[in-house]
Amino acid sequence: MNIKIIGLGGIGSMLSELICRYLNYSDYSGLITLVDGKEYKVKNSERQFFTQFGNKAGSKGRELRSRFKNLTIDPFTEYVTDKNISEVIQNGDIVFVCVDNHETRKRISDYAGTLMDVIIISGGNDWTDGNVQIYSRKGGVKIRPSLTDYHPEIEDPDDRSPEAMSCEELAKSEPQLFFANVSAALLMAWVFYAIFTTGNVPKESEIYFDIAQLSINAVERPVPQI
Amino acid sequence: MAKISKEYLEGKSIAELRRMVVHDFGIPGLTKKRKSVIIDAILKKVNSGKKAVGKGASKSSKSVVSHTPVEAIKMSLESTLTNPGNHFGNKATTKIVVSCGAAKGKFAVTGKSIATIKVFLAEVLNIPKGFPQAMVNGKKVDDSYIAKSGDQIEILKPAGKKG
Repeated sequence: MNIKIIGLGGIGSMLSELICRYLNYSDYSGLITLVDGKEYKVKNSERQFFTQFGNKAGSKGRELRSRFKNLTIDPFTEYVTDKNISEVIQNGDIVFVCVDNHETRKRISDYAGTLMDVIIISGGNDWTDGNVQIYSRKGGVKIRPSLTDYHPEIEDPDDRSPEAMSCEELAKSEPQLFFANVSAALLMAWVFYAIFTTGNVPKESEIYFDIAQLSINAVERPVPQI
Repeated sequence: MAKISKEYLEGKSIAELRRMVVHDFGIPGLTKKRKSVIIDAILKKVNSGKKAVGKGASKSSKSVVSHTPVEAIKMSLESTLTNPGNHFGNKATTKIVVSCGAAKGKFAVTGKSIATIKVFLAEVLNIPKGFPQAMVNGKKVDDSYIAKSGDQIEILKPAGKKG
């Protein structure tokens, strides 16, 4: 079982810390791949965990490798595109999707649908609320709904993936709350812990959180029949 | 309650009889039986009750009523007796679970359409504008669906976009 963390911004930079610290002191011997084509900049400091500027996957990879020496951590310094997605995600992977656009979520969900065994744990947030989705396939059968099954906004995204955006578009980003990023990362870590320790995917396929309402709600949904 | 006779019971619908047999007479296992079977069971229960009253002084009566005071009842209820004077079936208000994202609660929305519920609970459950898809007991439904007792309603909240 290899682990892929796609997106190392607000959610991914925190999640990678949690996952690596936990696995460093376990008997885990797989590969952890960090995936991102963006760069850490000064403006990211208010809500992203990094100690070096430069490509996010590269600098976060160096940082985590220096601290967690029992792990094998590889950076993949590009965005996930249709061309390279088969290099990034393979059968048997646990994939953490920490991206900031639905276009990439859909790309990953659709590609995962072609694999026999894969677990996708995807997190996203708005200002004070957000969600974590768990999509899983086992033996070529979908055992938890895909990222798009109950989310038409992901099935038909109104945004674009970062590799298709101009520099001006990339520079423009909606404000985000640090605590919302951390909440999504933490819930993704909860899901990972459940899977890692039991070998089973939780029956709930989506977890919502809302900081303003101080609430969390885990939802069980059937896999839609075709 | 009106006097229970065969004619009285035959005047009831099968749905009313099914509710009566469970809630008023506490007879299990009959909710899927034919009307005549339910009526016979109710009449038998009513008559056996009368006999028990008649034999109240007799020690040989099989129907023994305990007079020990009830000290505690532990149960989980979703219905509240809000209109005790109403006809059977309209005496209680049943609350059902409605959720949207992280917000969740029990609300008295049975008998209301999904469209009405979305408007009614928009602020309470922070339902996003555009009124997204609703699901009842895990199945997608349209806005004309009428909520029933026992339903679990979820208004699908869009996924968080940023990360």
